[in-house]
Amino acid sequence: MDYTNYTGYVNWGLKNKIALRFFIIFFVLLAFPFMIDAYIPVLSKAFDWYYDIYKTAVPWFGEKILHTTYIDPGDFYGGDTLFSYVMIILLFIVAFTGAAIWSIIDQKPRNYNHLLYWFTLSIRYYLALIILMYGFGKVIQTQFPYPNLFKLNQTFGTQLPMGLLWSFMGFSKSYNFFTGMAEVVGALLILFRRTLTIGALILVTVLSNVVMLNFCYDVSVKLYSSLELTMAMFLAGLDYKRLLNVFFKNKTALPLVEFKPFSKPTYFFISRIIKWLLIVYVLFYNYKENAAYLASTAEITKKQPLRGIYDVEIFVLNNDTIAPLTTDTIRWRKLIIEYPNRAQIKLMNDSTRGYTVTLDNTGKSLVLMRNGDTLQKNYFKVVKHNINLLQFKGNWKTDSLTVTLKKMDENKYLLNSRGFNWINETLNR
Amino acid sequence: MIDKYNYTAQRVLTNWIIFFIVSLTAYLLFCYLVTDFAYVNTTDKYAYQAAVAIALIAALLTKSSLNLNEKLIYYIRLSVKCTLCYLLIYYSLSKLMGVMFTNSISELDAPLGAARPITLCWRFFGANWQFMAIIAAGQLLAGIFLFSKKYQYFAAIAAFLLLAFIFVLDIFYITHLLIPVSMMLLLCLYLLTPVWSSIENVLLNKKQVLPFAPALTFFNKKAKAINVVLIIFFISLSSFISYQRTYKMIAPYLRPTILFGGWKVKSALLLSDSSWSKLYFEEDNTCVIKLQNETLLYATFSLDTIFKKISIKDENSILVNSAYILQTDKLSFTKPGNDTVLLQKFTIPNLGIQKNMFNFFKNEK
Repeated sequence: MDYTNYTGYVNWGLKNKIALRFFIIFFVLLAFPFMIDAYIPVLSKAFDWYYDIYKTAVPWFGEKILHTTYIDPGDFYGGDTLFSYVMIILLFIVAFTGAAIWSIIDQKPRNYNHLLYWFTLSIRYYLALIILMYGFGKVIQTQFPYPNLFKLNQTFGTQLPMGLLWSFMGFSKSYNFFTGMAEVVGALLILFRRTLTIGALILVTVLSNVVMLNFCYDVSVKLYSSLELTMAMFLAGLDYKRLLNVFFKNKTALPLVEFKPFSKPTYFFISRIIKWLLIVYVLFYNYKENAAYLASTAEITKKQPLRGIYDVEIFVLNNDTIAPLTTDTIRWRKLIIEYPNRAQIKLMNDSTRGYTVTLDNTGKSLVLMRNGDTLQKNYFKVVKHNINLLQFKGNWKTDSLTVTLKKMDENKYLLNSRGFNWINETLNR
Repeated sequence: MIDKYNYTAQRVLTNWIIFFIVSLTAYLLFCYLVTDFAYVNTTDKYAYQAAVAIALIAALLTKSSLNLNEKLIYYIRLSVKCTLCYLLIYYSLSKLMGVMFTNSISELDAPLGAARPITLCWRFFGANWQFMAIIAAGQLLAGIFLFSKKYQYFAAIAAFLLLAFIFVLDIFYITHLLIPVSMMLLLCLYLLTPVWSSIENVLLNKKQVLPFAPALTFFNKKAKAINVVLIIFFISLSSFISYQRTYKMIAPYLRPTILFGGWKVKSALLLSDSSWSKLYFEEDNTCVIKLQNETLLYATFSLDTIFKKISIKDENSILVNSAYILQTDKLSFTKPGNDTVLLQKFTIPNLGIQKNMFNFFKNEK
């Protein structure tokens, strides 16, 4: 045989047929119709009946058969939830059963070249559509936003590993752009037969890094990122004989003859048009969605006039000015207000508490409400508010409180002000 | 491999390596003869950059005139492999042994915003030893397999990808390693130049690709065997030197003093002055003093546990030189001027960090 095309050298024996049937069923159950309604929101309701089957079957299978703890059907859209793991086990069983039934029904001696081609094509498009979503999320920096004021004030040691990963990625717009572009380029390349191998290898490289980060920094999409990596490896593996020969065996790699799915040129031409229309739509959709999200975030930021980091200058509780002792557990050290209406109070002993802050339309009064405690509302009257100073007084639980705060210049933080430097004379510190 | 020397890129990169070595040697020789190395310490980094630039210009000018024979190219490639192999092994062991990406306790207790971009990068990678270990293993294997006839190009591609990842981080997180890493990237590219068209054919054009590494005709069996022995010796020596160098750096961290940890000054008032707020006694006899206005002072300390004496000094002055009293989580000593400092130990959350393979294996047990 003078070619090594994957459809050319597959020996369609029983084992390979069963394997293909199994993976087709598993993939269809896993992937369909998620990418369709993700890209065409109008259709999102149309598949509710289908999702309801999952939401009923998976908890039933988990709780009744596997004897797991309670499985929330709401976790259907989650990441590494118990729902997701049980769903994968269930899909494996269904795919295995389906493949067995298919094998009993279909016993004619025929090759599955066309079926393999369309299966591969589905994986290529499914993977590309997912990766393009993530890629654009990085290129336009909606997935990893710049660390917010709470994050900037949080010490390294108190961050969760995933939070640290988000801060690390979010700091550099350029690094986000670079990693996003690697994903976008890889995803686009796998849409074309000629560039399938290089595109799949790019995705294997990029997704290996993503999976490693997800596992090492406890990001809750380990399962799905691993599945995506497996798909990328499968696509790269379609050319495995040539790759093995060249990079590992030091042998001659034979030329590859492409499989032609259409016998008539008209069908080929129509498929090309559909493909390009899809690519243009997907690129436009991803750009539009991410740009709209970014714009809405910027809009919300503008709506919080108190946003900033404030150092507490004077703290008067029940007409008694509290001295700033570092061991004090009542006096505030800092007040941080973030958009849209979140606030954090840092006490003198460095402990922090989260609040919801609401400023009325006139800007004359504000309410601080402890997170998770809607009953405890603290009403304050804003006495002074300018660029550098904020003073308010009112009731704090059962006490009277007057606080004078000085706004901190955010550029005092090295992370905000360091900028880009070609020449770096000093070392890490 | 040698017939591909006709490629311009291959010629330029080969010439560049030769000119780089020549220009750097000439500069260092000049420094030695004229100044007895007096200026080398202060200007070597510029010499390094100048040598890179001069070599590149010379290589571009002479791209078609140098005619190197097969054997010379082989040795140039071998020296490039040795350089890359040593650097990859060194950086790999630095990661595995916890020299790179260390997290000092003062830095763990500092807010994220107060960090420089490189510090953020350093803390991020230092937060997970397993992630580092995977990258380090990749570097180690790539470095060793560069010498393999069969796998050398795959190793060069793997090294290139790892270094490209580091290069991008160097650019966007502003580290000081940009020049050495870009040099290593160029060396990887040089190793790949003879097979560029083959890589293109296997990945893009889907054409026939002949074996990458034909037999070397100018070596007899004995010479080949000696080569293999020398390469194994080189890899072992590189690993030994790298281990020694990194162990020397990590050694102080493996034996922290009894004061190791964060200490809060009791009853200190928060004022924008220079009084002390916190002290961090690091593992390597350095001490970081956090002032009330949140600036940091870097100092060193020494401890005499027999006579219970402590001495803390920074670059300019002695900050403490007195007896100390230590009671579990309370510490006191006297600053010059009879100013007694009372300290309370506090716990610093540390993300469950395993800094190096010593800790990793200790924890595993």
